[in-house]
Amino acid sequence: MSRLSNAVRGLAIKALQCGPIPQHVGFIMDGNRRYGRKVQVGNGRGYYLGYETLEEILAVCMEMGVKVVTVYAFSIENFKRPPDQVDTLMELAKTKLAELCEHSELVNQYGIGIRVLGNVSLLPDDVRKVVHRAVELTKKNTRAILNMCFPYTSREELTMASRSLVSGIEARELDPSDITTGVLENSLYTRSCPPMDILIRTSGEIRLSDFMLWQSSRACHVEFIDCFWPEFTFWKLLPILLRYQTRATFITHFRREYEKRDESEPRQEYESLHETDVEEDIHKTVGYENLMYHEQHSDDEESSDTSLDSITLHKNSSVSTLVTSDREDSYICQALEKKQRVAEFLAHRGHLPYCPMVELQ
Amino acid sequence: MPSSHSHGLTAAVRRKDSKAVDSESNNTTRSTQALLDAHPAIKPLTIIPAATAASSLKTTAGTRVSPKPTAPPAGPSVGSQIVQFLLKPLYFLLFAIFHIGHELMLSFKTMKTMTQVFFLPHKFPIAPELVRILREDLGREAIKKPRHLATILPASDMVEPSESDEENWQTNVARLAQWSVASGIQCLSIMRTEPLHPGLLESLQKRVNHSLAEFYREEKEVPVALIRTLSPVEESLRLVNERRTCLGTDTTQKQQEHRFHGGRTFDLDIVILSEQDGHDRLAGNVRALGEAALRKEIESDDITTSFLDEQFSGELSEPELLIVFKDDLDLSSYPPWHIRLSEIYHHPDQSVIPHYTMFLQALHRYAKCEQRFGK
Repeated sequence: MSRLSNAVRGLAIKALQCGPIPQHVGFIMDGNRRYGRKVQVGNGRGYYLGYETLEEILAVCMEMGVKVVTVYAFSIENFKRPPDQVDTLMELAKTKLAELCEHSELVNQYGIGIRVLGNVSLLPDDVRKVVHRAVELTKKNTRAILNMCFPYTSREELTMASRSLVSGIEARELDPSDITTGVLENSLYTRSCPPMDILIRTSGEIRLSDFMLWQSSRACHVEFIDCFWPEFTFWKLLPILLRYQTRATFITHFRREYEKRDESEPRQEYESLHETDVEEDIHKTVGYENLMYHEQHSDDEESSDTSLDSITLHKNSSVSTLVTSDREDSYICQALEKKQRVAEFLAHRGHLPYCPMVELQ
Repeated sequence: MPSSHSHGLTAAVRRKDSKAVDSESNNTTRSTQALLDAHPAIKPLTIIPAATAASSLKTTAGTRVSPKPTAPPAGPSVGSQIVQFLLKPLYFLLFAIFHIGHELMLSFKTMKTMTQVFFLPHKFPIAPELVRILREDLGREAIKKPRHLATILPASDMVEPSESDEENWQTNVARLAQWSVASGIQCLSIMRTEPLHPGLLESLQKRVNHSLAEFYREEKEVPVALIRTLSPVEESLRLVNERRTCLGTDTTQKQQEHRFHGGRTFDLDIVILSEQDGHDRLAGNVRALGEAALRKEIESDDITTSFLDEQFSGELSEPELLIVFKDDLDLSSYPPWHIRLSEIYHHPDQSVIPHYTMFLQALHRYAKCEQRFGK
């Protein structure tokens, strides 16, 4: 029976692969406790069932070709829950993380690198050790990523990113003008992941609950689905994927628009800032007289070529014809410098030990 | 268990894989330049190139129990490639069937909503006597109401809104303002995906004033709505800093609001947001913070969640309810910091439901919601 259903599922996945496949899918796995109560197996068992669903959905996503799966395992706010529930979750996380990184067929087969996103310093020591081990062991897997948000809130993420960028500015490694939307995005925990395409929240709640606020609030398909997480299956995912496929072109379009804006933003700033600089440069290098001369003869360059000595000629021509391209060049130079500076800073910064930067294959 | 059907994969393949991964990891000394170049760039998702599609077929061929006999797992043979090639039309057919079925289902649902809307008792309240009806619809004080209602209301589907789109949009804003005032909402933020021409702000204000006067012509006092856009980030940073430096003099909420809005009393605070006020504003804020850090006004360790929250919520409070007036649920760069706990209401059948019905349904949905705050 399960063979047959797997076969049908495989076929459906193959069919879906004819269209665009999301690169990054996020899940808010809500409703485990309520499901546990519903089927009367208790809260703790509900979590275990939830984990089983996660494995299944992860397998489906990987088979489909999704590169990154991000799941909300534990919120910083969840520490407010009764201690025994928190302990159950920590235990579960410990055993399952160890299982995932050591002998999980799934992880090996699809080359999944495990990441733990969030403020890991809030975790108890033993759990932190397991987290460290899991991340280290799967570091070399670069074909896909499983992001476990544990303990995570988006506000904390944004705060940490802002703080580290500001500390970079303080240390003079960065310039305030280097900070663009893209740079901030690259200092979040999800920095080496493609942008999020789909965010799914189960259990019928219609909030984001501090999960991936940045990543999900632009050019991302958000879906709230009315079933508890352990009830979530491939067949519930299918309509969402179909919906995504019909929208995918729009999403990529908007993303490109955002990117374009992000690129043009520092450029405009540069131009407004350096307009006067360039003028001054001209005055310095060419001298006022030459400029006057150039103004008189700007129509006829041939004559200016012959009547001036070579040095002035060179300078003059740079003024008359290359002012714009000069500015362009210096802009490109500066932009490159900036890019390098930012990349260096992002690469050497140590505040994200559990999400190493990799390039996905 | 999903992992159980990977038994087809032989050890040889796995060894080969791990070798490949190893050699890859030795190569990790990529230039940071290449890294940054590669990261923000988004691979186009529209169509999977044939090559990658084929390769993904190859990798899964051995591991998946497929209806046809599959090739030996030690790499796809010519035979399996042919089988896969022959299966392709089948996949496409299935793909088409899925999509057609899905669309049919959606249109069926739309038709259902259409009939529901048709028989709905409450229609558009435009006449003053309908203020009363609206209040009845919402049950006056009895239900939980949002203080801040956020809406995503794009001016048009196109990139450039035309004149009539602009006109429509303003009408919609004016109506939303009417209903919000009537249902006791204090702040209404409207995310307009395209930036609003600054000159239009005044005409919008006039229009809203006019529509409120019309709507409340039978009441003693006509409510006042004030339209504003967000001020630059530097301004809010300055205010937060000021507050921090003079901690002794405690500034109450009232005074704060007084400062932000110039002391004018009004019933509804309308904030028009554009896409630049979302993610770009957060980045702009980091820039402003960096500049302040260079001037030694703040230190990086000062930046905490509550610090940023103070800064952002001074300008715009957290909306309790967010209504998306868009065919597809997508948050259009609504300020991400603020929507942490907002209820997001969206109905897929935008075109057939009047805004008023959506507005009411959203408020009803909000009234029923229970928030557990992580517990």
